[in-house]
Amino acid sequence: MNRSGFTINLDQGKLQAVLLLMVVLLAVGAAFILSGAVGSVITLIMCSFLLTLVLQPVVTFIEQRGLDLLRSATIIIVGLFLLSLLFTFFVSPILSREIQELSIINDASSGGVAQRFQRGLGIKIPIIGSELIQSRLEITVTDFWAKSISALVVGLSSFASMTIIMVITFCGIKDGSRIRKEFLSLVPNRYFEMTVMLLHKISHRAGRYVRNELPFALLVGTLAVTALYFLDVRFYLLLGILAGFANMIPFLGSFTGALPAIFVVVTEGNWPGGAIVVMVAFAAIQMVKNLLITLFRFSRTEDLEPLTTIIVVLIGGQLMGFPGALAAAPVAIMAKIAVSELIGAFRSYRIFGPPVV
Amino acid sequence: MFPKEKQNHDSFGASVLGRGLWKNIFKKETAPDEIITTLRQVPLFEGMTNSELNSFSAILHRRRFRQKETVFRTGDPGAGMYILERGSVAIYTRNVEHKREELARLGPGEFFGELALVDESPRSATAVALERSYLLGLFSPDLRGLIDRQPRLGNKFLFQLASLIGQRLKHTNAELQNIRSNADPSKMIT
Repeated sequence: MNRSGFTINLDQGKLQAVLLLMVVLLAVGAAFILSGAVGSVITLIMCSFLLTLVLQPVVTFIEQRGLDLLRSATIIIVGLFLLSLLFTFFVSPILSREIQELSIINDASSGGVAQRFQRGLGIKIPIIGSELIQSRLEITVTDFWAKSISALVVGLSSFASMTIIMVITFCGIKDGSRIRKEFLSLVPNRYFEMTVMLLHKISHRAGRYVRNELPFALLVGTLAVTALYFLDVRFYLLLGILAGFANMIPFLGSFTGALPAIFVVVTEGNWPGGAIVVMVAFAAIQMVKNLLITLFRFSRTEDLEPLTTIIVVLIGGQLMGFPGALAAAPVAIMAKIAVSELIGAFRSYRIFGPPVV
Repeated sequence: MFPKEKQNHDSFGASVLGRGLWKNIFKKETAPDEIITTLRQVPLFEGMTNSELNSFSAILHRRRFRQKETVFRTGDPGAGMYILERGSVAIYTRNVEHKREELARLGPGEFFGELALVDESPRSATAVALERSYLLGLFSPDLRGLIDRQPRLGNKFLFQLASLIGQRLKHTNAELQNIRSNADPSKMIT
């Protein structure tokens, strides 16, 4: 600090770090506020965004065959619409019934989540005996469950929601590059090239992450539904689908995917036999998945460190339940790329430095 | 006083879905005529059809620069090339005595920064708008996306780019030869 005046000369790197931290905190704060107010809308938009990322290579493949973007997007959306019709008529009724029956587990008249879990285990867990712990556990599980169920009801069991997702996805595929171009037209010239490269890297890396994880999520989901069906577990379809989606969550996915199934088995009074069999089944599914990963996948995207991933997944889960936890990793990857590219770009383009010529 | 209403032949769309909805969802993007006219002047797009030029127009970014505004500076990471639609741009570099030296002055239909399409090495010169100018930016991520979607068109463009770079290399070699043959050997640094 200059004692003769009131000038504070901050180190350039520290100033950038402070600015970026402020932006991140503002974004997290906005997310907290918005998730409460328009959570279901955000869920639909997030599903559409992920679907657009996944379908982009398919659109490119069709365009390479000579069809224009409009026809390519139309073909894909018509295909998705037919799939959603099949889903609505054959899968959705079972799913809706299971969601309704499962939500009864949270009914307070049945004794609460923690007590049912204790009864199922058949032993008294000392720490759960405390009323304070019990009520906090009740609130946490109920809140997480309510958000997840609400999102699943909105996203999966409603034909209207699926139609909205498809319409948004169609617009995203058809007009995504135009929307991006119009957004870029608002960026000042000084930051323009930097923003172009930044957006490209973000969409490329996020898309690669989702496309790498999705086939294995489908595999795990299919195997989980099959295994739980043959093990005669109630709500096998819902739990299997949850396990498949949970598999997309890095590091915690395989564990969190099995938890709901084990939880349901225990609350149904099938402890310890049923729960152990379910654990073994999920362990076997993970072994199959890891074997296929070793065989077919030659490089993994390691965009996030384990600790960072766990933290962002927990934050995502707290904000929006299961869909939040699912979207947390790709969102964190995009944020990490944005931050690192911005810092690099500020240095390369000498945003805060004197002009060279 | 009032413009004549355009005859709408899409009677099915108009009657069932409404003129606005049908046209809005299924409208085809066409490039403004001035962009197509500008692209036709650029050797890189020589021999391309209107449809092909439309494909490029969809990935071009139209930017407006004020007088004396910098387009890019020496050392900036290369992101893409610019085509002058209107105005003029000067290309500068620093000579060995660190004095600013103007390499070229470009007008409408000319282009610069094309090497950044093939690699991300830092810019070797600075480009500054000499007057209010309109530039069309073509950037490497967008070009790669076009090559993925329309490989034939992408390859056509890349061949023309390679040919142009080859011509410039020949021209530079000829100039170097000329300088060497005219230079005083006693003043040459070896």
